[in-house]
Amino acid sequence: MSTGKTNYNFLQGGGEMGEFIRAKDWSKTPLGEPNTWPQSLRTMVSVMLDNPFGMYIAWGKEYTQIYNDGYRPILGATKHPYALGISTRETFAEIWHIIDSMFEGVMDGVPVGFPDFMLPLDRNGYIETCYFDFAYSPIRMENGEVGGVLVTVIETTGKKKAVEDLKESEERFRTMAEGTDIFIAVGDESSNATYFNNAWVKLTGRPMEDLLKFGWLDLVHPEDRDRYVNIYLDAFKKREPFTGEFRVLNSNGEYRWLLAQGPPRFRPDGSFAGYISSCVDITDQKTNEIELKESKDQLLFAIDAAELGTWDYNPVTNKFSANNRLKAWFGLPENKDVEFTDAINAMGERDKGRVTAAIQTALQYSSGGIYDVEYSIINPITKKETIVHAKGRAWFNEDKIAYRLNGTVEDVTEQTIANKKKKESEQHIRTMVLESPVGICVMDAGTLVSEIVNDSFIEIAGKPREAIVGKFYWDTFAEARVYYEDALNKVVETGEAFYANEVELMLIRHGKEEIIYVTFVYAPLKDENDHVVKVAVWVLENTMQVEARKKIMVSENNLKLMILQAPMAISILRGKDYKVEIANKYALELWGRTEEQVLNISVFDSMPELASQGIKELLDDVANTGKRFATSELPIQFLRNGVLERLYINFSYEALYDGEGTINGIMAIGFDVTPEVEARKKVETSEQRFRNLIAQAIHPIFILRGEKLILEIANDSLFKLWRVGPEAIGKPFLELLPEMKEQPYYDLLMDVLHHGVTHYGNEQLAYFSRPNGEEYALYFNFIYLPFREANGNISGVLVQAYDVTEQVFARKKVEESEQSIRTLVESAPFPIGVFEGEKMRISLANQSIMDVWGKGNNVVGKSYPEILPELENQKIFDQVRGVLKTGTPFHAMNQRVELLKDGELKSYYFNYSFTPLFDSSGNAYAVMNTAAEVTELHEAKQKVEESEKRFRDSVKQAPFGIAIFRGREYIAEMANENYLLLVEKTEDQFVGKPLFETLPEVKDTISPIIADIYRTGVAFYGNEFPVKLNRQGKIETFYFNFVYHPLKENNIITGFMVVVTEVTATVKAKHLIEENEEKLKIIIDASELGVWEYNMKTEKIEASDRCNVILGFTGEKNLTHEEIIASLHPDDLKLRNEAFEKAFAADVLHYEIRVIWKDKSVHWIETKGKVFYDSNNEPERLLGTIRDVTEERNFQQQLLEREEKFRLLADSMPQHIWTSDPEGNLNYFNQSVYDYSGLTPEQIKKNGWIQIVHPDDSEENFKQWTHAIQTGEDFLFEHRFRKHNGEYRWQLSRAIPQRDKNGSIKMWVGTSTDVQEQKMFTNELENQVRQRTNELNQKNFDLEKINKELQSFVYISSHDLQEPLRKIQTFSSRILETEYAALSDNGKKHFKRMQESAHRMQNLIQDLFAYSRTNVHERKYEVVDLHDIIGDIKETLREELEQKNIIFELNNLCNVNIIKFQFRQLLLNLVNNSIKFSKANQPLRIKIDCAIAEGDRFGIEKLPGKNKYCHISVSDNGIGFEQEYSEKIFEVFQRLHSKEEYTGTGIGLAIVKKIVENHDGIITATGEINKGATFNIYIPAPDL
Amino acid sequence: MDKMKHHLLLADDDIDDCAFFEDAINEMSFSVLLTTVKDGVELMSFLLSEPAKYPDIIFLDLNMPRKSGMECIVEIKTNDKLKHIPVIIYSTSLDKDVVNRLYEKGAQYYIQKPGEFAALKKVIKEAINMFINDNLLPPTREKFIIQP
Repeated sequence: MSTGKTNYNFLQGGGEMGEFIRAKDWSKTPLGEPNTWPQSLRTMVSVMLDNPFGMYIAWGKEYTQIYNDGYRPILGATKHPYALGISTRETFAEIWHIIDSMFEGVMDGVPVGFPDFMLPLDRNGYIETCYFDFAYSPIRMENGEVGGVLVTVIETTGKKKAVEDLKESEERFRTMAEGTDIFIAVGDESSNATYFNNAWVKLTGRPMEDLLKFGWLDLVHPEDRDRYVNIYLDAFKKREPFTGEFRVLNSNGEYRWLLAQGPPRFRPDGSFAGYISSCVDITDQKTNEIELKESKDQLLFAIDAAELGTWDYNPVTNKFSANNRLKAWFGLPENKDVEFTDAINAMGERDKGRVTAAIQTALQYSSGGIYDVEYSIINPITKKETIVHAKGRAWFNEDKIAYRLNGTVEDVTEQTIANKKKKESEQHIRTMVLESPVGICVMDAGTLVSEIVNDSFIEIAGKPREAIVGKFYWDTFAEARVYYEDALNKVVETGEAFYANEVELMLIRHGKEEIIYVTFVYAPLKDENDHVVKVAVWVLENTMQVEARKKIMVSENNLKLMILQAPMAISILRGKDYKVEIANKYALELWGRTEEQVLNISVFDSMPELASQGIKELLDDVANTGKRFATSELPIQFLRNGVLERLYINFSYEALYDGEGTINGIMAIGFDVTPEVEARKKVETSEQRFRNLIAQAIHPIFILRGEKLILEIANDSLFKLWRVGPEAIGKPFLELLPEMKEQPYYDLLMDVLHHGVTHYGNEQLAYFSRPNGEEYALYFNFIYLPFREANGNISGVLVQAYDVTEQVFARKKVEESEQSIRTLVESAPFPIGVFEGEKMRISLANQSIMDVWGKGNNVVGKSYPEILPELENQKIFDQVRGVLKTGTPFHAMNQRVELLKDGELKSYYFNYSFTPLFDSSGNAYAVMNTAAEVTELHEAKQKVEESEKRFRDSVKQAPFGIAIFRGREYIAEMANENYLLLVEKTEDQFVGKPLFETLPEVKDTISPIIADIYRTGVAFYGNEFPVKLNRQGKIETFYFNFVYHPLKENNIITGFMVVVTEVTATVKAKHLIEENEEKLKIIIDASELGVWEYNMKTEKIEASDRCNVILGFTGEKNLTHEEIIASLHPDDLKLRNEAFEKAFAADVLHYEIRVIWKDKSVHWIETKGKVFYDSNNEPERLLGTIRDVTEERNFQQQLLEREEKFRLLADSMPQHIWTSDPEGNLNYFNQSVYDYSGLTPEQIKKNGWIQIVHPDDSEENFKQWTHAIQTGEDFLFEHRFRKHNGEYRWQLSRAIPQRDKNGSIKMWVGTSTDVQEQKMFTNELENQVRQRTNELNQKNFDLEKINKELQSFVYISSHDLQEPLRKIQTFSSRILETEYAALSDNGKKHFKRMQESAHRMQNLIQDLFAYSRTNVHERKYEVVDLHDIIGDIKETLREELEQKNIIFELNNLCNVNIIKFQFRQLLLNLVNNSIKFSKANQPLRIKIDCAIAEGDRFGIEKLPGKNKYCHISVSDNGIGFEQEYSEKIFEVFQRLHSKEEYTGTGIGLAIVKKIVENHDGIITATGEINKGATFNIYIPAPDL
Repeated sequence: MDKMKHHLLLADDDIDDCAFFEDAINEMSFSVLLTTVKDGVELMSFLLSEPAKYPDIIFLDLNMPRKSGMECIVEIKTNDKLKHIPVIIYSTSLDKDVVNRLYEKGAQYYIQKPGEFAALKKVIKEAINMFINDNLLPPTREKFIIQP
């Protein structure tokens, strides 16, 4: 038997886990290799693997785990497959504290089991609560001890979860419906309301019972009832969603507007179940709508009346809206939306930028948002220009970002144009007069007094301002009077201007007589009637110019003369193009032109060649700066007589100035210096060049001159060579070097001097013998050149010499050394080669190295890489280059080198060196290669090593025991580690000793076998062969697979080899299997599972009792297949068959179906199974489990329905609804949230709900939410949510915590309601109110102003009107007094009437004055006793009262809160009124009563109920009046009688009424003809 | 100068009113010397000229060009040399505020120019009488206005 891992019987089968277990390297686990496993473990593993339901074994103290396919799902995603082979402690660390003691108990032999046991498992990356039915059973080993734990387990988490979810879902529905502030109601299919939530109860203040069925309808506003009921019932008929608005009576007796929305509700089976309606309170919104509409109408009217254009600009969307008036101005389409740019386009070009800037500024928060700008618009259709004044303001959000800019536009075209014109003309005149450089003096045409004088005039006049302004013009300019008085007078008379142009004038300036030249005008200024009213003097002084002009004329003449006479070239150039004004003969000569060619022509036209020579730039510079330009020897080319010549000229340009100091020309002065310059230049150039050449030469150069060969020029190199100093110059050659006389050089020099031949010398030796005794020899290369004069005569010798001494010596040395190396190399017995330079040119190669290379003998002179290209990748060349570079030798030992020989790459081994060869200057110039071949030696050594190694490895590392025995005594020759382990011996104990001496216990069994081998020479194979061995001091039977193999030498058996493996564990396991299978059966029977096996061939079913019970066959046995099929729910049969088909493809069977028991009850079963195959790979049997999952399924079904109901409810609401856990994590959103945001649940889950909150709100949102979570206070927040189209809308969100019995928060239910409209309404409303308030304030302000004006008007008029009246009275009274006698009776009468009229008018004025004052006077209230006031009046009217016998009757007079002086006036007027209308024949009684009571006591509508009022009545017994006039008598100037009957102005009672109204009171009058009148005054009573 | 001859000074720009006043004086039995000035500036320069000639009573119109009566009374009553001279206001209008202010400033009486010449004579006479009778003590507010 071999030792493959997959061949253990007990590890066969088992599906995927079987493969895992077989593949597992168990040697690394505490269990060790499977062959070492105890028999009971093997058995149990085998059983487990074949089992379709979850089992696992935790073996040994370490609880090492093995589990099957059925168990895998329990391990989730993170524990499998790592759990295999490791400890339960590790795999289930998170629950170890729970199961530890159970495991221990099982290990002590106590089985344990629980149904629905809760364990918090971390198997998918997080802790989840799981439930299990499980049993832990001990697995006993042969010796009776418990070896491990068998766990059989069914997960019931799903069932448990379903139950809990159901609870939670119901809870959620309940808390949501009760916790929300939305009004929720449920109606059944027959339209009866069956449920109202708490919000409804709170709103209506009625218990739910009152609202049920149609009870709610009673609370609906009667006006809305029929309409809404129709909507409601119609919806039930159609089963479509409905929406409606209606008012409902709340507990305070107010009607609230509700918006109801309801979707139809359907049961899971699709049948109609009624409606869930949700309502929100929209009262505020409704109210706002109405208010807004009113205020809008008012606003529109106001705008229309004011002829304003209005506009509204949204800077975010760039949308622009405006009323039609504005659009008409801008030429924008009336009924279309417009962009902001359309409006800008209509603006005038020059205004666009300014307006845009003003808008940008207004949109900045810092600007305060004020926009006020005036601009023009050009109507694109009519092209009419309108100037408008736009005002507006920007609105900012919390972030100080403008979201709106709106305002008005007013047409101000006419004002603006008028204003502008006026301003412009004023501005013109002002500037003209004051800023004018022309002197201006304006005088009165009549008086000739100067009125306006500007600074320029004062300057010209040379007199102080006070001597001119306000003075008679001719007084100021007396000295000029004689000359111009007539002219001025004529201007006044005729209205025609007088002009004087540059006239000479004697003027006294600054006290001195001066002659000045002036140009002036006397200009008449006329009024609209064409009368000359003013004369303006415009004066301009020309003195300077005139004088300058004179001077210039003289000097220019002089200049011209000078130029023509000058001994050098001079010309004058004028004007921008430099025209030649004058040029003398030298100039003409220089230019090579005649006078006709140049005069009055631009120099650049007459001499075009100058244009490109920079002359114009020079001239321009002088003309612009006035700076003189002078230069010498400037080369300029002139075209002279048709030839372009270069002239050198010394010349200068001078600026010429006119009288005012302005440059008006340039004088050019020049001198031709060409001949001198050229001559000098030639000499200088050649001389210079020559000397430079010599001085800078590295090698000696010198010139010997004349017969004596005098050293004329020499450089430093020569001095060094000759070892002389510069003083050698000027000395003869032979005096300097007398030794040369004997050498051939002297003669050569002379030869050159005499015959003009050039001599060359190469490596010539010269001997020097210096005066100081020094002697030396040098090699030279030299040239002797004849030195010729300009005339061609030879005057000297030019010598150039190169000292080549060193080169000569060096070359000679190298030649010597190379020769010696060559000899050495050629004769050497080992390979030598020399490679020269970077290219590694082979300069030397002996026969030996050429043999090694094997490339023939023609190698010298070629490059090393060219001969041996195969070395390129073997680092050889790099080594050579390295040596060449560093100069360090390189050595290699036993180095393998591959060389190409006979077209084949062969390996050789060498010891070799690369040694540098140095040249004389110490540089490595070549590398010498020496080598010794060691190939054969190397190969031999390696072969030995390899063979030995192979042998050692094969024996030692064998995975099984190997031993070799020799001789008749079977002496152990060798034994490997494995073998020694098997026999539990060390090498020392075993090797070299006879077998049976070491292992006597095996002799009986083994010796016959060995004997057989020796005899037959045939190997012996043992399989599961029992051998008794002494291990650990005990002799026991162990099982082995082995082979004994004979070893022959010369065909004689001299020994044998043993190869052996132990299989004890496998054999023992087999024995245990049956026993354990029995145990397992018991365990399974005890669990809730039914177990069955279906043999497909025999069609027999074996089922456990439990299985039958689950299927509904209690007590029956041996059910047939048909019987079972018949019990299945017919609807689910298809499901089952499909599962079976799938099982044959995937090996695994799983389905959940219903069975019908005999009592017709329906039960859910879950079946799991596995297909097993026979050796032909045909399905043989199905092994499975069955479980009753009825309860679980029912829960799930209910849960689904509940969830459906909840979701339908929540999703039907137009509001956003959401829930959160106590930590604040939002875990549910209704459909509305998804519809609104356009996000999917996954998107919200991934990025959080905060993503739909406006970024500006999110921080505060987060803060508030966190606060609510921390404190448990209700969450209430307004924020913006992003809609799917990107729009943000305001939402009012509210969340209420839901608490359990203990008061701790279990969850939060939140709603978010769209309040965008309300928010906008509110904003708009606020704006409108603000605007209206501003308007009102403005109006109040205006009114106050007008009142003040009116007041002062009244005061002044009353005062001033009285005065003439009074005088009329006085005068007439005087006449009546003094002229009485002279007047006729008629005259007297008329005077009297006149007096009366005047008197009446005076009264009228005084009353009017009083009346106006009652309006405005400061209201200073004080509490006064009415007695005091009446006493005061009595005093005032004392005389009259006495005369007319008037009786006062005063009753219950009380304290009153009044403006004292006004109230006094009031009573005075009333009393006066009574007196005036008293009956002539009866004494007047005036009765004044007073009473204080609450307002509603008086039966007068205008008096508010609870406030206290003081009622004062004044009644008399006078002539009274007809009741129909009771209102009219209070009007101003309303009189009931003629003036003659009853005097009076008709204002008195009007004043009375006004005063009462000033006191916030009212007055009524009742009267009856001839009975009397009563005035009733009601004013607020004083606070007591 | 007669010792009993009282010196009255009238400041009024209205020539008619000056004439009425003069006529009224002339028709009375008093021996009176009347000086008239046509505005406040003239009044003040008259009062402050050297040698000093202080009138016994000043009749002062309020509404005058250049310097108003109100300005004059303030100057007079704050000048130690002049403040002893009684000043009687002589004006067309009768504004309560103005009257109150004048009372506070130290005016003696307030006469509203009456229409009737007879009434005019009456009030002037009353004022002079009060002076003659050495009755020019500071009046009460109630008696401040002399009614015709």
